[in-house]
Amino acid sequence: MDRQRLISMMTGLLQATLDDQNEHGAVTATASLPLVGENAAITSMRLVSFIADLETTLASDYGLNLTLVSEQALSRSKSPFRSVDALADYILELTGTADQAVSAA
Amino acid sequence: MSISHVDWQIDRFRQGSDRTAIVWNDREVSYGEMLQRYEAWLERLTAAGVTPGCVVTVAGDYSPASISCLLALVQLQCILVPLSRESHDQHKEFLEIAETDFAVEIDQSDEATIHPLRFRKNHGLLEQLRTRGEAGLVLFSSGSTGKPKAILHALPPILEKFRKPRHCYRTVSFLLFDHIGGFNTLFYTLGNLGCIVSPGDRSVAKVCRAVERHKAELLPTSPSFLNLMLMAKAYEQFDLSSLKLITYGTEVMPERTLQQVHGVLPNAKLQQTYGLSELGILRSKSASDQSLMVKVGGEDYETKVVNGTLRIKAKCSMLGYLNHPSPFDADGWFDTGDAVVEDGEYLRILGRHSEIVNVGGQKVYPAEVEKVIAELPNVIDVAVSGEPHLLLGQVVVAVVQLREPVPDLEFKRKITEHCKGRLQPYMVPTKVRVVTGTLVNERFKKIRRQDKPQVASA
Repeated sequence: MDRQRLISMMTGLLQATLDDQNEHGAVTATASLPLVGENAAITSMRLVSFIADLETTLASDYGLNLTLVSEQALSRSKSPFRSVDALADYILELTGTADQAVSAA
Repeated sequence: MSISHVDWQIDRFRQGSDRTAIVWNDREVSYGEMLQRYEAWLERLTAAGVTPGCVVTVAGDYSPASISCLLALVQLQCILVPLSRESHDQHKEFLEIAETDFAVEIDQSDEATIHPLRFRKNHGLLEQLRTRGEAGLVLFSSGSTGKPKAILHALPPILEKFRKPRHCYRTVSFLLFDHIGGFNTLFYTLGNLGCIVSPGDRSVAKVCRAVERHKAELLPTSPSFLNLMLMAKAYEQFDLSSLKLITYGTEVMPERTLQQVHGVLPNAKLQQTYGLSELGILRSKSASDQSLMVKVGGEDYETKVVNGTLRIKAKCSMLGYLNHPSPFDADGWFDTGDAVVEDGEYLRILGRHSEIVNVGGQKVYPAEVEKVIAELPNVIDVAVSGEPHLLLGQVVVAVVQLREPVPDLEFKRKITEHCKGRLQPYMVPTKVRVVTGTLVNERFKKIRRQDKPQVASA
């Protein structure tokens, strides 16, 4: 999976979430925009909604059925949900694992 | 009781022998003919070895044969178990749970066969009825959660209330043959020498056609059916002006549906009903045709609200479940599991407690969210439920049936936009799935648990 394409898709989804939360275009989605913590650009409800949108898009456009919010993700010392960048790395890591599982099967 | 209910009912049949008791397959059958059929059933059942205390299932739909058979079984002090064709796949299980002695099957041409069975195990509750020499009734809960429950009632107290004269209607037998509401409608209609209009299947077209052709006055139905009727604009295709009363229950009524039905059928009074298989049907009164506030109770029922949930104590509640422990508390109160809000004497039923979605500790009533989403122009129907979520416990999921399908995410955006200012953020669906199939089951109840059973095909 192409990382740049993934990030572009994710920032598109994030922009829609931001526009829904704020005035249209008030905050611009970037790959490094903080999504969790004190400076988070979106509320936790919107983050959950954004991740659900991402899962839907990964399934419909990429044929990937991933559960991004998992014990595995939550138990990491650095949250994979902290930014689009981190989330992209996490997805690539998961799909890499999935590819290995497929080739091993 | 001085005479048995059936003796009283049969006297009524004699008084109204020329009147139409049932319209079945577009043929009118008089009370006089029903009387003859009832007498023939008494002979036939007795000849087959049916004796007082036998458990007898009757599988079929409302028809001259099935109705007269039920009456004969009550007169023979049997424990009757009406089974609908729609639950056919579960009949084997039902026969065993009810400890059936005889199975009566009535086919589409109203021909009946009787099969002796050997399932009797002398269940304590069934033995109680046999000792008392009383007829009984077994109904199965729809089993949307887990195993179906077999609900046993003693029949005399249930039937006795139908002796009080009330309105006489030409009534569509919409609710299924195995439903407490259907049983109630049947004996109410017979007790008042009304007419049962059997629509055949329960499709919108068949039901509306039956209303038009046979000038039906009362349609006991469900909000989901009314929704489908509105969607199909059946009121333009069929003359439904004979309807004087539409009763609805079994699930929460969306406000939009209620208002639209009132708009297209202004002469029909709209009445919310409330009942449970375990307790029977309560008397109810809607605050107005367009109101979802309802007063429930009547002389045989006490009600109270505990922690937002309706509890009921009934004079003639069921004897118990045949396959589950008793649900009544020490004082005889039954927790309905229905979340309600009180306003003086009136209640608004919000839905099943088990269907409430808990998003991070905040309660979301599916009906509230469905009401808002249903306002969007492209929406035919919507079912809201909860889905487990690691962070929030649950998230709100909406499954929507659209006139013109659009991608899930695109429609989610429309919903999110529309919900702004109408719903709290936690109530707005996190996930939206667009489907093409209908969201109601064969009982015209909304299927909310989309994660397990798939939506029924259109």
